[in-house]
Amino acid sequence: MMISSCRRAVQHLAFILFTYGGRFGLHFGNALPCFSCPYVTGCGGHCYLMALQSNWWGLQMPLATMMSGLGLQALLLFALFALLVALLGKSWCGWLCPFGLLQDWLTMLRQRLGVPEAQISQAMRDRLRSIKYLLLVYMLALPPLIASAGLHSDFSLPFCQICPAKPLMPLFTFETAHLAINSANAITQTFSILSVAIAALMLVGMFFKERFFCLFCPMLAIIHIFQKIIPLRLKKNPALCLACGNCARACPMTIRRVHEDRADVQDEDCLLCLNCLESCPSDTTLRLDLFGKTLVSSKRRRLIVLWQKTRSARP
Amino acid sequence: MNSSATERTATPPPDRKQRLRAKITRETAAEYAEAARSLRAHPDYNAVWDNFLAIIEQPQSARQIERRTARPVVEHLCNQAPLEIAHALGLQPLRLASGCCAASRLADASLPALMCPLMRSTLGMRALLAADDESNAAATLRIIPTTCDWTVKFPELAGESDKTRAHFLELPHLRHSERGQARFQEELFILIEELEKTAARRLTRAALRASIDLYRQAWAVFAEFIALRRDGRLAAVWFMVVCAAFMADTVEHWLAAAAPILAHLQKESRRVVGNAVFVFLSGSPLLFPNLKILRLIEEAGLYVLADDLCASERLWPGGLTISDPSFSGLIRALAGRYHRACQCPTFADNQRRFNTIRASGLRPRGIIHHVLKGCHPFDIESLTMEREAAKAGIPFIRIETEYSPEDARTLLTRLEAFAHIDQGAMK
Repeated sequence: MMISSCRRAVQHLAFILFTYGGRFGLHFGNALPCFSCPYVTGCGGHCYLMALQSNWWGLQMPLATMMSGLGLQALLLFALFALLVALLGKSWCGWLCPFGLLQDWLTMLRQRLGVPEAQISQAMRDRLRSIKYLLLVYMLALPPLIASAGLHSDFSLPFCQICPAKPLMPLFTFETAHLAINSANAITQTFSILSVAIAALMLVGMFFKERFFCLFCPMLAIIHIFQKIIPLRLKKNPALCLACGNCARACPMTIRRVHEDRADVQDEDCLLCLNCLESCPSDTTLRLDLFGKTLVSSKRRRLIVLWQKTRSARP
Repeated sequence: MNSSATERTATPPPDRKQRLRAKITRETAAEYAEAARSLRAHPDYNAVWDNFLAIIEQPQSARQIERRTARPVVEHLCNQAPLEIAHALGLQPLRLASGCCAASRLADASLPALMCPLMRSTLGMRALLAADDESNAAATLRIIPTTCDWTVKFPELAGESDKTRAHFLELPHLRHSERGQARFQEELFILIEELEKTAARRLTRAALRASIDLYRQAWAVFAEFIALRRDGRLAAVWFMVVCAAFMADTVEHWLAAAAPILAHLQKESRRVVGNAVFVFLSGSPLLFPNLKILRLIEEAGLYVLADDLCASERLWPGGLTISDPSFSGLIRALAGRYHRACQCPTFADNQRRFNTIRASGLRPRGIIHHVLKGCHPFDIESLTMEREAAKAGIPFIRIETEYSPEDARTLLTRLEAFAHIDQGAMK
């Protein structure tokens, strides 16, 4: 089975489990390193970003509570999140994230319609990538201010309030409530307008640019912080690289680093989707290592078989 | 007065010119016939090879190819013009490159003495075939990627009698820069306009995608030939036949002709090389019917395991990976593949070229770097190749030659000595 087909199958299975799992009694906890949105009724697990911002497991907890058993519980949840990140690294983004699959569906639709993908220059990408760190700072800074500096509690869960997954993912369970404007006060009204506007903007962006939201995703930034301790890594033998550029072209994030003459090619935006590895025509140039042991590597033969299969593919 | 000046001024009178043309026509035919005869006498010959030999055993003008393929011919020099685009427009791309020694003599009188033999022969062959065709404009369009000086000056060297319209495909010489790639994409859009005028039709996404898929298929088959070669089951002369047939025929016909040959070779379990020393061949292109170097390599007890010649394994850059199947996405992918993936020595950032040797599957026991006299880019790159070979501990030999068979004995002696040094080094 080709890597891309395998990934698609895993993505769809993960989508079903994370979006509908709760309806079948499945719950994978509140520390998931992917956008399994808690606003989806009957979801099979919660994105850790919500827990991180919350007042019961995260940074909105008052200092006194943090020192109690609840603080330890929050720490344990963080440890569980770190363990999940360490186990699978960026493959949470490329293989398991339900919101990632939604983006891939939009890409497939665009491809089906023959609409050209929007091009973002490398310089622009470099500028955009800092946004996810700004979002991370925003997400981490506001909850302690609510807990200890008297910031209004309607500012709680600041990232979830503007996350495009919040209005979009519940649509898969036919819930449209999060598309409504909450006019309770100026804060909720602003947040709900922002939420819908960002979701609309992202929908357009995700249609025209593959994995557009991932450029701004703070989860990707957090996982990248753990990168040094993640044993699952994309590696390259630069001595075997033919410099054909297939890898950079196949990359949904258009990462150029994978094409460069270096061994450490895992960029901070890498989703570990392995499209680069699958499209590399040089044996063992790109490989996925776990604790230094190669799990899968690029193969010329595999690529040829892939091309033979796509003979009848329609444009 | 030096010899080149003598050659340039000594233009033969008309009757002598006709006699010379007739003589060269006979010699050219004889050279092709001899190459085909020697291949049929090769120990690995099988009747299935006639599928390809029938296509290449005679020189063919663009007009003849046009009649045979029922597609208007578009000539191109080098291999940076995407074949898929011409094919999708119903045109037949024809690589303008000749390996014929006799034909080069027809161009001698008007060309610089120290000229690239490939270009000299190509010009001679063009003049010879155009005259036979009673038309000097068999192909209406010629695409000229701006690679080396000889290529860029081709229309000027061809002279005023050459009526084929030239389109320069400007090649940014930095292939890994974002700017260079963007410029080449623009060049492809301009090329498409030119080809659309020639074909008198618009290029559609569906047609381009179909062509891309077809060339992917062809590349998969081509890769099978490469694999057989890596496995020691396909001699270099036969690999040249595979490539020459690809250059002279439609991809559809090439695929049909290749199938029985491939089936025969895959059934044949015998390794054709015996105890030969496996070498990697790099440098200037080798073209049919010039079998000189390949025969000498074989005679010296060496076996070409892989190469990076632009008329051989680098004949076209391979199948295409597409991430965006829209029209502009397809063009972007083609631009990336034909520009960024090209290892022509005229590029400034060609440092990763040696990786082809490392990535060729088997570790070669030696490197033969072939330089055609007057081919400066490959001459310059031989220094880098030699340095990289020394670093990798692989014996290296540089052979400089031209199309004439006069230096064959000297080259054979050098290659035999190389084979012995090489065997010694590896033992």
